[in-house]
Amino acid sequence: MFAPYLSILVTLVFSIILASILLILARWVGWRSSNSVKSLPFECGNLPSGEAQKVQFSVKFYMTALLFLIFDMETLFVLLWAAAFQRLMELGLGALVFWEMMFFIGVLIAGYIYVWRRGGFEWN
Amino acid sequence: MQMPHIIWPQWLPFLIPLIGGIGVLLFDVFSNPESSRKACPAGAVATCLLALIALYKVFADVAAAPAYLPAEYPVFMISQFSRDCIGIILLGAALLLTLSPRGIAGKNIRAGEYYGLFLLSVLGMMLMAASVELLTLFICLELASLSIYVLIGIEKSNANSGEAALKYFVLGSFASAFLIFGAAFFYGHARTTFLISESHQLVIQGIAPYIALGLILVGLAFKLALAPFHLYAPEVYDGAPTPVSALLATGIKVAGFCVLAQALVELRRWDALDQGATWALVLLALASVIIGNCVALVQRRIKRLLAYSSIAHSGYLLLGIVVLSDVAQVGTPQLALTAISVYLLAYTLMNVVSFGVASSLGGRFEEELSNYAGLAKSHPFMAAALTVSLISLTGLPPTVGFIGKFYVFAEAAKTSYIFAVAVAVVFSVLSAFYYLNIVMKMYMQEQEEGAPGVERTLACDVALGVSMALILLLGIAPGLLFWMM
Amino acid sequence: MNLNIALGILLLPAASAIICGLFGKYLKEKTGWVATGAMLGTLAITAILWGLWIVDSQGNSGYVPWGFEWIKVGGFSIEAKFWVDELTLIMLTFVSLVGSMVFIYANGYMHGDPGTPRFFAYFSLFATAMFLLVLGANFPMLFIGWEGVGLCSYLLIGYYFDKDFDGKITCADAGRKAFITNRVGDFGFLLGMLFVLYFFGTLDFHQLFKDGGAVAGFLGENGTAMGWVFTAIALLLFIGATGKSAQIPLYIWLPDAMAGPTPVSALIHAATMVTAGVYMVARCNVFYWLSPEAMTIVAIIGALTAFVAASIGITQRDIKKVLAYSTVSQLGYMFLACGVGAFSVAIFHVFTHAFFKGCLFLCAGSVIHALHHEQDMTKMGGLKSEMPRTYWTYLISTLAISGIFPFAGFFSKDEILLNTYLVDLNIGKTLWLIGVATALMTAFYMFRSVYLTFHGKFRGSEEKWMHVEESPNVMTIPLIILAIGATTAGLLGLPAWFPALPQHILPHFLDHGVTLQGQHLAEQFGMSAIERHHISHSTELGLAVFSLLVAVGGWALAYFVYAKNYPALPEKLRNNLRPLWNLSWNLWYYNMFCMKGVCGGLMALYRFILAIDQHIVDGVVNGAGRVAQAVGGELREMQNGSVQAYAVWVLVGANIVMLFLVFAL
Repeated sequence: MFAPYLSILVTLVFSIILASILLILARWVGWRSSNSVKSLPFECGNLPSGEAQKVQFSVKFYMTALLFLIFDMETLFVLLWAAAFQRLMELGLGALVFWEMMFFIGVLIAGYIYVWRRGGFEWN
Repeated sequence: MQMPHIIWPQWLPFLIPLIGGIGVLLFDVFSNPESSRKACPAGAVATCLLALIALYKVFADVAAAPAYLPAEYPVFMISQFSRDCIGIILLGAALLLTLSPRGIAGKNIRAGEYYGLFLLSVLGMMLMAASVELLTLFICLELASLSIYVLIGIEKSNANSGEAALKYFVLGSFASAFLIFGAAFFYGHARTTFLISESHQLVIQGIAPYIALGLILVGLAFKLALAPFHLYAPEVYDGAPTPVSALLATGIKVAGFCVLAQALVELRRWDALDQGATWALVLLALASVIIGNCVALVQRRIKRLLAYSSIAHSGYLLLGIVVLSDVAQVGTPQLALTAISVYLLAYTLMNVVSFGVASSLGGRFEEELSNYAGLAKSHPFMAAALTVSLISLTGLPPTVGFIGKFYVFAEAAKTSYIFAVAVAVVFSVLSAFYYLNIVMKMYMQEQEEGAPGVERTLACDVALGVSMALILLLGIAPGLLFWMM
Repeated sequence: MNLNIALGILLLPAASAIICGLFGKYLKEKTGWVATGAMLGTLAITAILWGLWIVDSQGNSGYVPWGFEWIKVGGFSIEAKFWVDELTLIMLTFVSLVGSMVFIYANGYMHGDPGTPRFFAYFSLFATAMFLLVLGANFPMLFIGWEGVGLCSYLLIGYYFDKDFDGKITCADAGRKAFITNRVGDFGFLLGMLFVLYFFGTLDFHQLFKDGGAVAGFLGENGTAMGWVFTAIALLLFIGATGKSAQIPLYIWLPDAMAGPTPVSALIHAATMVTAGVYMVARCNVFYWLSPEAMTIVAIIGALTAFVAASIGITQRDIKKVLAYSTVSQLGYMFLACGVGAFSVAIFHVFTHAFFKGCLFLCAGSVIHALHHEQDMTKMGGLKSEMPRTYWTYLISTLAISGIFPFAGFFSKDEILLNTYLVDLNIGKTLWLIGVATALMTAFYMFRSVYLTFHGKFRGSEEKWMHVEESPNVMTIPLIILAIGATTAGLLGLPAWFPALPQHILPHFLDHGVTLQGQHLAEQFGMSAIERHHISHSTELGLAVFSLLVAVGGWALAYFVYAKNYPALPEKLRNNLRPLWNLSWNLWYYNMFCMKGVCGGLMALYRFILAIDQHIVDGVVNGAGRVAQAVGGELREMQNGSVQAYAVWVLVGANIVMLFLVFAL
């Protein structure tokens, strides 16, 4: 009865075992040391200076990353949609799927306009 | 390529909130803050009312046969019950939006964001109530939840608000994981993600589908704040802006109960339920009723008290749901569905009023209960509104709360779980203690010296007045309910 | 245009009640004209309904089209529906007509009273409830109206809630007494209603009583075997009627109800509300026709009430109390008529009584108004010259109530006595004799009140005499209109021996539609129903002359005692007939019995229950509360603010749910 799920279980068990073995091995075999240099933030071999001491990225990167993610997702969706469109049309779902995508892009554009007007793209 | 032939009007009730929500968001960024503070709430309320009218115009005759949307791939089903649930969500949302300007006044909140997200969240709830396919259900639930996560923490300068948002987000995601896990199990077994479908029959065999249903039930029970999944509720309700707390207590629960009820009706139809499922529901209901009422007794803050009261009411409602899953039940589930929708309407109205009074008065009235002493003298209208809603919450005539409770209990008493009804009745009598305690505070005790007055706004008075009138009118002439629906 | 217009009859006074209640602060005494306008509106609508009735060649009764499902529980539903037929029309006619007159009059009477808006709000509310009672198409609607008029009556009796009524009780007490006494009757009514629902499955009058309706179906199924059902229902409903219509044993509230303002006494406690019991019995005549036993009991109670109340009226000094007992007595006549199967005649008497009793009360109000709230007749006298309009209208109404030809009361009362004489019962003749004796006493005590009030010399203080003057037109014109009604209403029910003019218009109208339904059913299913002998017109005429002579005899006696030989002869009579006088003056000691016996017993029971409640029930309730609070305190610990802990609880819950689902415990 659970046959369909067996492969999932095998993968799960296997990954847990592998991860455990690796971790245990590293701990067992590996040689560890702790000193002040090792705990310093790494900056191309130099000692960190100025702003970088706090190791913070500007929150503006966060915004950019978020926007990137959103458009990344859009690309993903549109790509799959385009690839499957021919088959979906044959199934008689063409109109539905077409308008769905238009809708999706429309909502995304609205979000884009919102971010733009709120000043999401201004660096300062 | 064939021409698109989607029947547009059927989407209208859902398009209106979508366009309204995005419109409000965009309007805000194209106009100055002053005008958007005025126009956004008006637009949002108009959107909800318009959608409400569209809903009942478009789906006027679903009583005979439910409508499936979209025709090619029917992931949404509008039956009479789900239509009424969506109507209740929209009515509650319209009232809460009317109360919102006062509720968020003086807080550093951008109007467009608040009202836009509010509408999108309402849209999510509406779609959720209508969805019969598990992935769609998940996405709609997430649309509603994600908007609400932001709304809870929208007051950036308030630490409590942020904490509440984060807690709800973490736990909500946790619960969503159960739901999606359940959906995966369901698909793995049934090879379909449709819970309800016109075209094919559900085949339920073995244990896997029950694991699936159990996981889905857990995911929903979290949103419905059923014990023991309720623990987030008091803190989140307390931390969120009051109209948002009210939306959490009403809209999302209506949607959740709608999904649960429709799913159970369908599963019953295919004889896919056994005693265990019913027992699980009975147990959740009793736990909610007992924990909700007992802990409410010792609360000192108004919104926490209302949170526990809403937990208890979820328990009463779940007793109505139990009827649908009862194996021994014979005949059509129509009566139980009617009872549940009446209760949902009653529940929404009385929560709108009780949260609404707190939000309209604002400030210290959103905090300690002791601040309500002597309210009858300083704000007789507010005191009267709160009294009516508390009497209704207690379930005393002549209010719609009595009618709802009566119908649900009467239906539940027909099953073999009558002992659960007896327990619920006992605890509902107990609830009179903490509800009427507030009434007593307002009417019998004196106000503290030097307490500042609160300015009233017309919008709040109208929203509270309308809700109060509905509570009383439907309580006195419950026949109107059937006439309207 | 259809019957929907009848809804206006309900909405107009309801709107007026709301306006007077909410905006009374601003409208002050103008509320009177709002309420009066609404009442005149209902009169107009009633006229339109009559027009529709006459124009509609079918002349059919029917439901008011508009209505809705009021309460629905499972398969059983109560509908807010209304019904118009012959009986409804007659009731509407006199309620709206007499009501309008009293409303107009009240504008004058209440002038200068600071509580006027409250008065008119209650008064309009009363009218709404009364119309609801009359228009309701089923028992629940009738019951709402029934309770509604009871409530308004309570509110209006206690209108002067801060004043004493007659030294013994306050006005508020009088209101409470009326309310509680009525509750006893309502209990019977409610029980009767439940019986009807249980045995016939519907509460709708038309569904119950129509040809082939629920009652006919029941008879067809069970034949005569289940006759006791009809007796039980008829008697239970009659208990309700004894409360509302002040019959033995529940009549004690009505005389105390005179504590309210006089227009209230006129409208509620004489013309309309108290006739609700008669209306209800006539509406449900089917149950009575099918149970001769119940009818006999109704007739006996009616006759006894008529006699006892009249005998009490003879000695009373308070003018309003005399009128109150005369009302009880006249209501007794009406039930006597119902009991001998003359339901239409009972309603005919209700109709004429509304005019002359309304008029009498309003005249009494006019007198009381002129004498600044003096109600004791022994301190009046000689008002004839100062208050001519009041005097003449009072006299006309007295002639009517006493049954002097050709005033209205003569025809209706004579018809009742005739029907009683003819009824085929062993005790029929006895009842007739009691009726005749009552007629004698009625004429006597009514003319006694005329002579004491309006004739002879004024016996009050000099100062009061100085201020006596006729009431303003706003009060006297309604008196005149009602007096015209008291003179001419009899034309609607002329007896069979009356030459030339059409006879029995009103009774035949009712018999055609409603009041013989039960007789038809009884005949159809071969049940024994009460029957009447037939006699020739000349014998009828002889009986009529006899009862006229009796009435004139009472009048002559009153003239001899109270006009010719006052105050010596009354004094002498009182001393010589001390036991009889005591019996009458002390209300047959019935009130005392109720206060000491019934109330005392109830108080003892109350103390007993209170003790149980305080010591046992309260203990349980408080204990449960404390336990719950303690449990709540413990459970609150779950709420420790830690998200991880909450997640663990979610997991625990999930496991429990899975346990049940998967292993189907």
